[in-house]
Amino acid sequence: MSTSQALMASYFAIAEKSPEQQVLDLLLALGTQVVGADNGALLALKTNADGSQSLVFLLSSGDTSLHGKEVPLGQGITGMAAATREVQIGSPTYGGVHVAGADAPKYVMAAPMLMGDELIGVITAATFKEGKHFGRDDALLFMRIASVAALVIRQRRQLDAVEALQAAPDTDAPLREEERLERAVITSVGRLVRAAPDKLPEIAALVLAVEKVCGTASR
Amino acid sequence: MSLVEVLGESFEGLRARALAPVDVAVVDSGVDATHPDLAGRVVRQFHVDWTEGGTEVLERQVPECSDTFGHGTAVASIIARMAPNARIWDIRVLGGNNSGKGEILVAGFRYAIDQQIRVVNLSLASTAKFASQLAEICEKAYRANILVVAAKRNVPVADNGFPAELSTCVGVDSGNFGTNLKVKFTGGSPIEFMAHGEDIEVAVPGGGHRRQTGTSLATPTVTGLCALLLGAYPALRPFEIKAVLKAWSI
Repeated sequence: MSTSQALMASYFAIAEKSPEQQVLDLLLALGTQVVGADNGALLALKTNADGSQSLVFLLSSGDTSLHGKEVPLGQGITGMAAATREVQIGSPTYGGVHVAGADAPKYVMAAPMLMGDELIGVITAATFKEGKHFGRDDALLFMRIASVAALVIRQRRQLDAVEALQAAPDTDAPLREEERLERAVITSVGRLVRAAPDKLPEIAALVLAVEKVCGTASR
Repeated sequence: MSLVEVLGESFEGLRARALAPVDVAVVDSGVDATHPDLAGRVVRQFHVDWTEGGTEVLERQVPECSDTFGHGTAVASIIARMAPNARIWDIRVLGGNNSGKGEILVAGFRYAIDQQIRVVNLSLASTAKFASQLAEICEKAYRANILVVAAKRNVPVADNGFPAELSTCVGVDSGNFGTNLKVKFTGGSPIEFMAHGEDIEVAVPGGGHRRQTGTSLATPTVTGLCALLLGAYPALRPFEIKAVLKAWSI
């Protein structure tokens, strides 16, 4: 398994030889082996300045030349898995990554890595064997592996957020009036929810109604 | 026409007959209407635009390649191959920077129903967030005698996907049956039918073919079979079509 450490750190804040890195390596190796693939890869979602999106290779089992290469969203099996947020299986059509001919995979499976509704990347499995293809059971397994990989990345992000909060300088500066009121409102709503959890729908409706009156409800 | 008369037929027999044309909407990523497999088969092309004020359905020139992903072309090529009588309406709801936006899917789907297109193929699934809107459109379709055929998610996470879960649709799962002229009744699941969806040859935008697997490919197989049925028996209602599919199930 080979990783572009710089890209992995840049996209997922995952350091070399960290537990997260090792779990991702293990997941990809396991998934690739169980479905009988020759190659596996992990790609991160990248949003470009013009708003277009692509997937960048960060991790692959063997082929380091893939690192940093990009697949536009919607292109090929991998890009389609990202665009549809569904496992996609089939013969590859996007020629921008592999050298055509004998070096190109014959069949590919790609599963999106999702954090709730948010797409963060895709994992892929590829075979170079003629006649080999992936089926329904392979898709089920690979999607679960993608879910666990997404969970590992999510936990890393959450830990980073907590660590950043803990490292923030403690300031004794007095709060502005707006900040004081905001905290008071949040504390009050939190207290209500804890005191009467069965009333949560009513409390939520009330907050939404207030938002509506203030014209701040965006959706 | 009686249902008993229809049940005496078979998909193989229907394919050998002269059939009336049946309009089929492919609500998807667009269709390459210039692909040789689809030559003369795509009759109208549209795409749904997303604007700040909402959505807008715009008509395109026919024939052109409106497909940026290749998904809709794959789907349309299966329908064209299965049902020589199918006239395809391309309604693009996936693609561009707003790919997969639920509001666009809802607008495109609603447009297909408003146009009274006889069969609507949805080889895509929305989250439960849009379930109520999709249910309302499916109900409208059912009452208008429009058949909606929708794909189950390849790998369900929280749900099987909408609108496939709705009883007003023909929900389709994928299996490996070795033939595309058979369907299987699943017997109780909200997704009532399975069809062959493994390693299917499909058209690729710009020409050529590839092989693909999944519920997205099983769904147009069922759509094609339904277009055959409706070509021979145009008066069939959605519940009767489900009854025929079940009766002919393997």
